[in-house]
Amino acid sequence: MAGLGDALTPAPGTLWRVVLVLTLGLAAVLVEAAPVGLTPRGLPSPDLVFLVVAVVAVRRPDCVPILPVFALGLVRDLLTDLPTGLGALTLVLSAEVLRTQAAALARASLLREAAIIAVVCLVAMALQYVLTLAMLAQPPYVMAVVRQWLLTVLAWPLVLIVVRGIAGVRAETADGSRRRGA
Amino acid sequence: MRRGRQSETADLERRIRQVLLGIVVVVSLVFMGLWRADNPRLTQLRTALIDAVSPGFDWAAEPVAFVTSMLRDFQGFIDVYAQNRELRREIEGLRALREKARALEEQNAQLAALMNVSLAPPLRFVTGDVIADSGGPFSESALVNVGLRDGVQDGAAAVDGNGLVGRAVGVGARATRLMLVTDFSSKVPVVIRPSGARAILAGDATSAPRLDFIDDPESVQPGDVVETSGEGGVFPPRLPVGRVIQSGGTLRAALAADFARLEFVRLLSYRVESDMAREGSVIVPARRRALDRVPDAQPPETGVPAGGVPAAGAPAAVVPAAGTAAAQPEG
Repeated sequence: MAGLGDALTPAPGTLWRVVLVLTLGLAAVLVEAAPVGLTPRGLPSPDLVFLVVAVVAVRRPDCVPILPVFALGLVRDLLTDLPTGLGALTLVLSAEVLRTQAAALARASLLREAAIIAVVCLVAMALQYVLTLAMLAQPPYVMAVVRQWLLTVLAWPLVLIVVRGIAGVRAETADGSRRRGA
Repeated sequence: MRRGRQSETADLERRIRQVLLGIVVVVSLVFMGLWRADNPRLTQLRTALIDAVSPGFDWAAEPVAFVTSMLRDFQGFIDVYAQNRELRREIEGLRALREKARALEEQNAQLAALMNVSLAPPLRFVTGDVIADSGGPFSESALVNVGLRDGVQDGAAAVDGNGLVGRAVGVGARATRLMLVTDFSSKVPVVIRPSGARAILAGDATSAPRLDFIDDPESVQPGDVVETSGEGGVFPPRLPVGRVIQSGGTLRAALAADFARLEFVRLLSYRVESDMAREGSVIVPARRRALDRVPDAQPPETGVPAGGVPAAGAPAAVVPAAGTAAAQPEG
């Protein structure tokens, strides 16, 4: 049972970081939902919640536990009128995929990290689209999804700076050295 | 030994994550099913959450609104000269219209007195601040910071100073979710003037929703006025919606409401007084019907025009909301 205890108990200092990440995620929901003109062809908000989780997942995989990330996704779905459960599911799956890439990305360049996050974001949005179709609900226009993806990719550096500044998450390689600029 | 224990812990951790992931997938699918079925408990959960978080929305919306208005003001400052000329030209046109409107108002009052027309009481409304939008491409909705405690009713029509914006689809104590007329799920019965043709305004995530099921498409011309017909009893009749435009062979309505600068909306209090039950039922003798009648029957979703709704071309027996934009003049 000692093993189970080790697996379930977060490392000291991790817990407050998880709380901080969730707080940042909630703030991201509020900013995402801020009304900036309600025209259908206006600019969509970037997926800031995804970006917050993604930035942390590749740097501190232990700070994005499944259940709190799922709860965050669910709150976002309920507040921003996304199909309930759809955004939460893709958020958890994205975080899990990025966690598996964390070790490989620890020594990679920021450009490579941006590329991987962009691909994961695109796959998550495509999955949302397909699941909406599978539920026989009205999916959004493909162009609207592509525009949101582009804005999300463009917003990544800003979110990276904010999350790193506030939560202090930095990538650490196996030998303890830090990547330049990360 | 220590390394072996570490790998054992990592293995266990991986298994726990897999189980949790499985649970999350199942729970998500259940939530999606409930969402698709429009489960009332999910709606309650949503409104309760919105109520709890609405002060946070205000907090986040303030700085964003400030920056947006600053950018808009800057844009206005750049083309102030052109705007001034445009406004002067508009004022000239409006002066002539004002005189005409005064004469018509007087004539209308005289005719109404002659015909003994009883006007419906003016609609009451609550004004709210738009505090959030849906943000994503999945839906066109907004949150307003007024709710049940301010007297907002579920299904209430929302208008801005120019025309119809949407309807309330979830009312919490302090906040209300609006489905905008541009949303895919929005269907509004409208009437096109001067022809009087009925149609359904169907939102399709574009700024000019489609006009479906026009009963006499030949009589409709681009530039005609689109108003709510009041059929179905959800929206009051004669609320201005916009003007007909033709785009790629499809008739659409260019909306009168200014969605780009939507800061405040008015939620109208409107209920049709109708004896119609929600579902069809057997016609029974009057005495039994009085016993069976549900006291607060909801207004019917579809069906014949309910009480107080004028037929096309009939005298204006119902006035639009007091203080809201007056119904656009016909013709």
